[in-house]
Amino acid sequence: MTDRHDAVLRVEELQTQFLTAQGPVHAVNGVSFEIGAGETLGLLGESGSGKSTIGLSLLRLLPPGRSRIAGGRILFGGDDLVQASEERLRRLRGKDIAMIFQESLSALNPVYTVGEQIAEVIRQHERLDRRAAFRRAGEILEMVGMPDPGRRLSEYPHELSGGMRQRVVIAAALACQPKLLICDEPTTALDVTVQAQILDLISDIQRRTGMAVLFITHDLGVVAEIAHRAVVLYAGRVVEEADTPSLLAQPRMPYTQGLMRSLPQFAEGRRLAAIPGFVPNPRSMPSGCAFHPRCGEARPDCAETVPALAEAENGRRVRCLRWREIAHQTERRVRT
Amino acid sequence: MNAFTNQPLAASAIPAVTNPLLEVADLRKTFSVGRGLFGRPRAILKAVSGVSLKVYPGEIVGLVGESGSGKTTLGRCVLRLVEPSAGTVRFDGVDLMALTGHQLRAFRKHMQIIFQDPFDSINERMSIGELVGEALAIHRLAKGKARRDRIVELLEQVGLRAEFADRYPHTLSGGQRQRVGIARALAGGPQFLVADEPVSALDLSVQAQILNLLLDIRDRLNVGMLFISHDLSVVRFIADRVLVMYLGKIVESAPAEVLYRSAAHPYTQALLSAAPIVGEGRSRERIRLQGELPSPVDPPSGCVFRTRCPKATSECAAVEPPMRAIGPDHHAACLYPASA
Repeated sequence: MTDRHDAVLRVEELQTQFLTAQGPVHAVNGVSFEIGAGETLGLLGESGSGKSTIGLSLLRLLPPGRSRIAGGRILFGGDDLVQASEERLRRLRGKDIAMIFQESLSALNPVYTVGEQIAEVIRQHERLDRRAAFRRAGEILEMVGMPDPGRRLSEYPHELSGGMRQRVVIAAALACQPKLLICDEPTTALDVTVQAQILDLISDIQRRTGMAVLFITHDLGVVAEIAHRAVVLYAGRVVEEADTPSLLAQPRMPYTQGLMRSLPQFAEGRRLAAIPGFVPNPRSMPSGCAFHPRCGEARPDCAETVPALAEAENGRRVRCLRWREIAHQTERRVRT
Repeated sequence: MNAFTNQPLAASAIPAVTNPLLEVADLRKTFSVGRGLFGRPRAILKAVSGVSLKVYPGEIVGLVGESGSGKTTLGRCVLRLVEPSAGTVRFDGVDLMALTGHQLRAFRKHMQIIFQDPFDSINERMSIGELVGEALAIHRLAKGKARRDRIVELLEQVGLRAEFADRYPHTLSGGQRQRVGIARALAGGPQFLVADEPVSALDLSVQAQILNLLLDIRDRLNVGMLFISHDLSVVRFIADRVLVMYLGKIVESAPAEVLYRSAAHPYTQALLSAAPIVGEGRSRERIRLQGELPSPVDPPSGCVFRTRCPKATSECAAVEPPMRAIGPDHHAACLYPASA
């Protein structure tokens, strides 16, 4: 991890557990990363990787009683969000840290107009009268590229298309100019042409406001499009991190390499090089490296030792016992 | 690794002389939406507006489109799972539209569907063996010991070991569930499959396994397939030929590699430019589409895409562009197609 002084968010050794009748399940198992101002960090993972749990942990939005943050620190501004009071969190949520989800419809209240909902967010955090808040809501809608923003203010969520609803959600999230925007698969339910508009929008706003963005996704293409740097998660752990171009051009961890080979566009011949098996059940994690049962590079010691997250060149981090050998192989392959 | 370094794909599976397995002509499907006080429909939604297509034995035809394009309705109509409003569907020379309900049910073993979520409508209390056995029973195929053998054979065909027969749906991963869905579809020994977003709900690493499996099945059983997806890169990989659908109409049709290399219809071009691609990142210029998808209740006059098309002229509002040849086996419904 590069030690930047301007980190907006720094997560250290985060541990999040789900509490089940059979005992705690480690959904997030010692995850660390940081995001600087004006930077977009992609958090890439498949189902069960813990990516959404991390997003919810950051704002302490996980259901209490069924889950808990068991360790680590979440440093934001002067606060450790793991220790912060509920009152302090309420003031941060929606103001300094905003979050948007895949389900834009469920994030909006069906009985209030678009304008009322955005104005409500503004008035929770700033002393503005109703009329001024409404005017600001209109300006924000215009900023997120909403066609005919004045009219939209008095419309209800069901009157909007999926793409427009997601713009409203983004508008509400940006209403108080957050320093950190957490996006959890915000474009997954959208068509590609609409997805492209939303990704452009988030990047544009970031350039203007300098906010930090944590972008949670399962989609390598989306990471390539929006993230400056990316963290790859597998079974609750960071397995690789690098700036996006080097991560995608030269993945080092066999899991990241497998993901790249699974992409239809990289098919060699008429079949894809799929990763065998499937992601492990968090209740019964494999010993050693969680990826070893699916890994073509695995050796006997991979089943015994959990590899450390090694620091490689240019701030890259790799969790693999054999990462040096694999780096050499990859290099040779690139040169020949 | 470089994007699109793959070799030209193995020779297209389209045989030049055989007859099409599936031949759809001018298929239409309308739905009545909103009923008034006396049960009269308030409006007519045109989901599929005059689609013609062919699928040859062993050919995989990709059907791409965004939500609201009518691709799923079209997929169901060609199997008569949804009753078409007009048009003809011929399957191996048989006029499907002329079959009675009873005849159609008997005919279904020849043509099956694979869904995005194969277990959406199944009994979770049945074992995997029973679920596959049920598919055999529907077609009155194999009894007793022969049925048990056939169940194992079908499971093995989709890459599941025989012991999966005794397991229950909730113990399976997403990829395993889709394998069971495919085994059920294969039970009647079909010649044709509609695969409706079969990998959309799967993790990338598992998606690749299922795509490989579908190709294996095509090669082994020579089934024709209509592969419906919103994912352009998946369709490019698996399909021999691709149809692009917008607001109930096919706007472009071409061999997969031709379509992705030299799309002629402005909608296809916009769709391709919008899809995020690893290896190209943020360097590409996007074609931004204006506005929103028009309502299928009140589609635009002339070309259905004209309201969002960067090239549209007044002529596009007046004339509905016919499918015209752009190159060999390449057609586009546009008055101003890009030349190949």
